[in-house]
Amino acid sequence: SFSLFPSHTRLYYRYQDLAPQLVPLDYTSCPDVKVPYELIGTMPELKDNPFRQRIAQVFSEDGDGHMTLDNFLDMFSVMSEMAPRDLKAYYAFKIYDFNNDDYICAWDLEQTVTKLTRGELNAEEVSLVCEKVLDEADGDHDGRLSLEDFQNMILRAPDFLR
Amino acid sequence: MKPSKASQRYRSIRRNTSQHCFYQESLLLSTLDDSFTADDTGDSNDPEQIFQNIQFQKDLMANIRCRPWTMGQKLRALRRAKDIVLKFEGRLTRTRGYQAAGAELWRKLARLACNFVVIFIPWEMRIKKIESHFGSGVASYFIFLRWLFGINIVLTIMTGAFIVIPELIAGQPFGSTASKTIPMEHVASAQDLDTVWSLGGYLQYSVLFYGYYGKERRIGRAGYRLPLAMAKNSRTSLASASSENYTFCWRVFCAWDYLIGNPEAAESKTAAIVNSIREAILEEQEKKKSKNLAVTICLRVVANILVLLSLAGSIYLIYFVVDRSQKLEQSKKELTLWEKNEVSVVVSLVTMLAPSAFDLIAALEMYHPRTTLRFQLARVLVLYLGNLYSLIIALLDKVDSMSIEEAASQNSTSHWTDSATFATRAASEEEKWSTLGPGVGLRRNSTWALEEANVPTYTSPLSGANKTTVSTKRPQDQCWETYVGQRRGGPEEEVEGGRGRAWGHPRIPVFQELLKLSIIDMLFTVASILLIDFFRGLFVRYLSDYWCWDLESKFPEYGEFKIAENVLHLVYNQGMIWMGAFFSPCLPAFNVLKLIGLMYLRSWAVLTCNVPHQQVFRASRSNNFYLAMLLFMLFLCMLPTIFAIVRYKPSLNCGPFSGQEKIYDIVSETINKDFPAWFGSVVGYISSPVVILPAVLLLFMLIYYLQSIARSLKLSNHQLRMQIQNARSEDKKKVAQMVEARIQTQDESTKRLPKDSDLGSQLSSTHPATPQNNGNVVSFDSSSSKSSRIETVTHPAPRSPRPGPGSATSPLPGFSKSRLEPSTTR
Repeated sequence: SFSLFPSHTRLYYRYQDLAPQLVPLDYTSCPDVKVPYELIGTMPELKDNPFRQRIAQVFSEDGDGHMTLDNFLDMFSVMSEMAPRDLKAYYAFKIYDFNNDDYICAWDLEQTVTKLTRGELNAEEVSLVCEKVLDEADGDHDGRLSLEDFQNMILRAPDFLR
Repeated sequence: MKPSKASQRYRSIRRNTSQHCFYQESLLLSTLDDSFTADDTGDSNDPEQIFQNIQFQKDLMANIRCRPWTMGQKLRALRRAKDIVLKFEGRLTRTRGYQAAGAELWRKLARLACNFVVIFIPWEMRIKKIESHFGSGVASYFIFLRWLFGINIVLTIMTGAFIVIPELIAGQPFGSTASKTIPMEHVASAQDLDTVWSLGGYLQYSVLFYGYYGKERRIGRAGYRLPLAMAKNSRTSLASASSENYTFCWRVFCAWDYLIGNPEAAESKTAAIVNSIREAILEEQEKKKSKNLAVTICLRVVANILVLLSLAGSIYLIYFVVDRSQKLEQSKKELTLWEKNEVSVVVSLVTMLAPSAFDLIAALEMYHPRTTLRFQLARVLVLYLGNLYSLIIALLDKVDSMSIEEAASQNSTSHWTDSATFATRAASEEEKWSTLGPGVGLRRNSTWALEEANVPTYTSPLSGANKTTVSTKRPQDQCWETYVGQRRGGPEEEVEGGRGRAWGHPRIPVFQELLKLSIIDMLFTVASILLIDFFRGLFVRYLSDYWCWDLESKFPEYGEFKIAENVLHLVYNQGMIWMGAFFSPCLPAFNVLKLIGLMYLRSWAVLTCNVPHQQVFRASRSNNFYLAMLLFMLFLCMLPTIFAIVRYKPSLNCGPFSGQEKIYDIVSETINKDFPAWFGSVVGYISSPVVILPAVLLLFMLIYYLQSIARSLKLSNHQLRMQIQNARSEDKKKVAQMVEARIQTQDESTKRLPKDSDLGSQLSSTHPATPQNNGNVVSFDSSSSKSSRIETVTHPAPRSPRPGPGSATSPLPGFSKSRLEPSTTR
């Protein structure tokens, strides 16, 4: 399967490096191997990211953060610079949707802001921010952000670089 | 035998919907097991069908990157698609296979080439490292620096290829003509450090400076003008007129810079985000407050007055310093180190200190930080331009006065020839000096006087009785252009017997000043980096334990990398180079070296001494701004050059344009003599007012036309955006209405739905709904999301399989389902 996406070979070696005793060198038999989240969270790209746990959860098979090679490749391909904005927006929505209900509700927003600021803002500020976010982006005024609202908002951001 | 009902229905759907909703289909494709091989599909021999199938698979292959499927699904779909295409294309044509193979090979090559090329981009790893530590804002400075480096290299190559090398190869060798040889008395001192420092000696008589170049007319050199900057990086910024609408959203969702890979940077970035959110909160609160306008306006007026005063002060200071140095030259025999370099030092000091002063003043104004930054940039830009211009004007004033005197003196002396009687002249010079003796105080004067080359004994050319002082000049000295590119030469001391440092003549430091300025500026930059950033960092880090207050969080803290000001500094530097590039062709080469040094020094300094910003700086929007500034600077800096070219007579003895009334006469001379006659007359006709005026008029009209087009495009852009917003909100209203209507029908149908987790039921129910979707998967368009919303609205337990053979627009297995499916089936 590597021949289809050559850049994956590099990523495979990185995956293997995370857990050498777990990941076999030979993938032709399609083994069912999952690297646990604790190891994935130590990767330099994710280590300092406040959302690393959510990212791992979103891309993992069962939503628990343990990733197979496929999940791993998926994650990197979406996070890479070459992925299209729409794709990134879609996954960003999933990352920020903490309770997996396809909407970013107020509770999700609170979690997001708290994680982002590492608890530096007090409760009043956090709630004000959440209120403003919903104000600005909620198109249908149902008190939460749907994927569409989110996409509208994100795709207009000039520096949605990631 | 048919495998299952599911596959049957799948095939029927495939047949009917073909290209539409292949998103859903392929999703189903991937969730079905692998028993589904290529043989099962395409069950008919209908070529039309096969062709459509193949097209569909090809589209799938092309768009596979954009699908939000997991990697496993993608790989399976891709493999299947390839199998199908391979199998069936063989039936249609053979050559398409080769085409496809060729295309794939080409793609692989292109990818390889791309990866390969990155190795050659200079400093890429360094910049990436900085980007990961400090974010993309700071990295943009270094990218800009690298771009300037590229421009300077191009400039160097062009000047080198067209000017320097021909001269070196084919011109008269060193020592043959007067303008290329160092006078005897100077040879002794030519290698003194002091002389080299002031760019005298060998350097003065080298290719570095304009005076070296011979007089022969050569086509390449004659009409050469400064190359225009190649602005190929016209980045289109995303024009978001609604920039104020989503401030909080963006700060929450888009603030994190995913390129950061370092804990310190992450911490700083977090702090920056916290600050920006707090800022936004503050703004929000302030909007509700009423401001005390009177006090604010008063303070702002005061601040502006201060700024204007300081600008005026710096301009005057520079003019004053240049003037004073001229007077010093005239009056004193020997100048101290300070006095020699005074002008450059003063200019560089002002350049370093004034922006910080502006920063402090801006604290009075209490603007929004973005506005403050813009004001700061504008003021610093005005300061730099003012400095450069006042320098140039002061120096050109001298040229003016000198050329007046030169013209006067020309009448009273005989002319000289540029001959090979250098030896005799040298001898006669020495002789002359000894005759003059110490009694005649050779003082500085800004007059040029001519010397007789052939006459062995000549009276000192007391150019006119009304001249107060006397100086002896040599033909080499009369290159004001050289001294424009150089700087005022070393200690001007007349020495009897020609020993010691014996430049001894007032030079007109016009462009000579610029190179010196560039060098001193470099030294000051190095010094300021070391002092302000490095020692400060050391001080804060090691002494904060012993100090009264926490040095790291309060004053003085670690330094931040001031992007805007550093970029402006680069632009100012480049402007200087452009000003002098015509008169000193090696100035761009020197600038290349300077930029290399600057790159290494600054990248080291940033990584060692600086911390990431507390304030979020939107780098992506400023790229066009920097480019615009650079081009504007280029234009402004070319003006003095052009002015000098046009207005002043070239010096009589040196440089390629010597002996003519105006520098650009060379052009007309060339045209007259080298080109055929008809060409000359044509050019003459073209350059007459009859043609020029209508052409200028036409240009004006073109500009006006383009501008009105741009205005109307902006307007239509805005209107379209409004339309989109309106359409979306209308859609939402309709959806809300439909939702209510559905609620009743759904409620009825929930009773009789079979607990069938088989996809088959869903497939049949998807069938009528599919025509709604167009095949554009990449935009998860509103209909699918609407339908999924319908689903979740009507069924609060989203995990149960969807019902409803009866419902018309029943929920599609949209992406929410796609996520659910794997979780239920795995």
